Amino acid sequence: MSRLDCILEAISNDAKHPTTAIRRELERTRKKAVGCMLEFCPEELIYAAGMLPVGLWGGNVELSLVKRYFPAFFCAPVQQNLELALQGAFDGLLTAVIVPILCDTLKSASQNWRIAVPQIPMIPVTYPQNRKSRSGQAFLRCELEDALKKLEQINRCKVSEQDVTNAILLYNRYRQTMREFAERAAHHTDIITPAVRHSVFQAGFYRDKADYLRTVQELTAQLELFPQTKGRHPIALTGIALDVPRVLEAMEQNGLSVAADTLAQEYGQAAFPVPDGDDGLTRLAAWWGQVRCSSLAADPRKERVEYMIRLVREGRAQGVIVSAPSFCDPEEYDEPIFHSAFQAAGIPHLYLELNDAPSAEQAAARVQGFAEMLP
Amino acid sequence: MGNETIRAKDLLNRLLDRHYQEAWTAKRQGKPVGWVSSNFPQEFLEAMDLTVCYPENHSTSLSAKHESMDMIGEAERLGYNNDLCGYARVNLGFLSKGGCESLQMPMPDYVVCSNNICNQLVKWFENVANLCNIPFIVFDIPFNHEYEVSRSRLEYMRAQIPELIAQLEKAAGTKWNEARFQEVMAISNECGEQWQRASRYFEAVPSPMNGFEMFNYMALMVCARGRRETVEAIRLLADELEERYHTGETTFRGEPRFRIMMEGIACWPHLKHNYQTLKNNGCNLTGTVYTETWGRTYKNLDEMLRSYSVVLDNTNVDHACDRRIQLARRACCDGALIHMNRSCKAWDGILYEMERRIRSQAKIPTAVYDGDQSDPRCYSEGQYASRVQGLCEVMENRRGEGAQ
Ligand code: SF4
Ligand code: SF4
Repeated sequence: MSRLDCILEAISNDAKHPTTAIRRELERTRKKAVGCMLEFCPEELIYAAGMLPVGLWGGNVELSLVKRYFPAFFCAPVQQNLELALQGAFDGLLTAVIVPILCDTLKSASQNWRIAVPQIPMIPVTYPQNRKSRSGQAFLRCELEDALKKLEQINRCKVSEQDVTNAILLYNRYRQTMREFAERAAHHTDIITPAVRHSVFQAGFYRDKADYLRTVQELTAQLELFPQTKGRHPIALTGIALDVPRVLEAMEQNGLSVAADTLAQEYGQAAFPVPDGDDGLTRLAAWWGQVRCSSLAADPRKERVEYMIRLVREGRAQGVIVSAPSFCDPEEYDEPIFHSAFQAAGIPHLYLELNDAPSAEQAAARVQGFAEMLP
Repeated sequence: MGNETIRAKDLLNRLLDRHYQEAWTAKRQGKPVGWVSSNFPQEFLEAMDLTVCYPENHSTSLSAKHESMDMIGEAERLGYNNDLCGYARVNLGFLSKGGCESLQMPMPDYVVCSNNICNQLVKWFENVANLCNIPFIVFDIPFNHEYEVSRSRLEYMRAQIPELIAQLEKAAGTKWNEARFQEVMAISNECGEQWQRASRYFEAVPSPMNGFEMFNYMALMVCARGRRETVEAIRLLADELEERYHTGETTFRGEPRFRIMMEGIACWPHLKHNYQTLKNNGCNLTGTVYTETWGRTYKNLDEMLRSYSVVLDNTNVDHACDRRIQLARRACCDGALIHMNRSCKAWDGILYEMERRIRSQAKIPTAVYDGDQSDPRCYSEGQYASRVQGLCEVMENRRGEGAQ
């Protein structure tokens, strides 16, 4: 097996078996793990407090216990996270969980977790709407400060300014590494298929970033040894996540490759570095003001639409797939705006609502239909 | 519905008509008209003499007048998913069609919103601003994950005021008037006091009113609670209720056997069926946090901001549940009827826990029914009737057993 194959296999295993990956990482680093409920969690705080941030994006689990808390029409990843927690899947694995309050579902998710899973303390962080203003950032700084205090209590430690600065430095390097990987991956679409590309981002949620960034750097360097390829149908992804194996497989089968993405689960977390500033918490609060192209970050100009159109106009992508779990209202509000803008610009576009196995089959069929529309 | 409700409906129409006429007059005179969210601190807008409309009120009216489905159809044609807030779908459909049959509302020149009722509303208004290419002004009232409003939230709200005023001055072309602001705060307080007074009779035993009438007056509280004439109208309502209470009269038609707390937004397209079913089962509506929230009083700016921060479900689940439990006790409710609103996630995500606490702490039976504030398709008359009957049986049995 070549070095490249070894790296990709290890990444794929971690992405497929999060619990094993997390347990191994906890043993190796002698750290405790803190769960991060979906999008834009302040992972740096967890890292600065000497713990391991772990992304919680749902999982393959039948919903049963969670029905005591949520009606069916709430997004799957949030319901699955709570279901797993109620089944005890996180007991002994997670020391706490951070819930970033970015949408109405995450509000109730924070409350339901606190009641239903008292053994794993829940740390909420409310994100401001006026995220670019000084007042909004000052507020977020307070939220982050409170979260950090709770993390200190949980890990019985004192976090210094230097600890936060170091964590930011590491995460900025990680973001840069992921940006470089994504850039390079677009030129090696035979090796970095949609599923492989996704696994590289996903595995990062279960690994110590200090270690994982070296893996990804090596992966990117290895790719350079191979001749460049241009996929038949390079496309751009946006939305929350596109993490359903059947759909990723259908993309590959139909000649689709990922030229770029702004998915919250993938490039969206890496796109913008934490800016310079007075102190670590102020910088982390300012970061939220810099996030662009996300349905969760207030954007009356809908810059994301312009950005996606630009990707196609510049020839990087032939079309756009928007992907989000079913019942994700932030994405559902943006979709009609996307739809009319793409239609006016003559850009092929597909909106995928991903939920359960039958919806994955349907989505796979729609991917095929979409591929047929591409030049 | 009986005579009393028809009268109330007429009143609602008259009040709304005047409100919309003012907006149309302003529009014709070239004065900018804003669209505002219902629980926005209207004191700022009233103090600046801004002409505004409330899309949630408008969507409510179209839903009650059975026109919501036309608008929803249009929104869905545009690609809006049917999970999204029914009010938003009605409004975005209305915006796209450029009008409707039953109640015209001028198109906006700017939008102003707060997220103290939900975050969806921010996305909805963001779309309106984007589609109309107009200013989008947000006064952020962040979710309270602690029981009380934190100092950082209060400071954030305070810090946003100069920015809010500057944005409003720019969008609407009027100047901030501090003296007028103080005056509006005083009027709004009076209005809140009168509303509390009316609410006390709404919750009184025996109730002097058909509880559904409160919804009609609420429309006025949404759009004009900083106005003198509203104070007078609500005072009149409270006076009438007081008089009826003392003479032992009531506008509830039928034998009031059970006192019901209603949880959630009303099911406007099916209000008549709701009302008749309850009435036929001897149930009177005697408490709901949905109307209670308008009885806002405060002594200063900080208290005003705090009061806007704790509306409905912007609080943590303990606070949200305690409010319901206190209301159920205060209004001596025999049972609670809970609306699982298909398109209001802000409310639904904690509803099951809320139901459990109402049962265990207020010690009353509950029944949940499916519906939507605007989308008539989400409601089944059969389900509603059977849930109400089921609730009545439990209430009856408990009465037989001597439970409180
Ligand atoms: S943004 Fe969408 S996917 Fe994320 S938690 Fe909210 S509803 Fe769920
Ligand atoms: S609180 Fe519910 S009904 Fe009101 S705007 Fe939000 S989603 Fe719609």
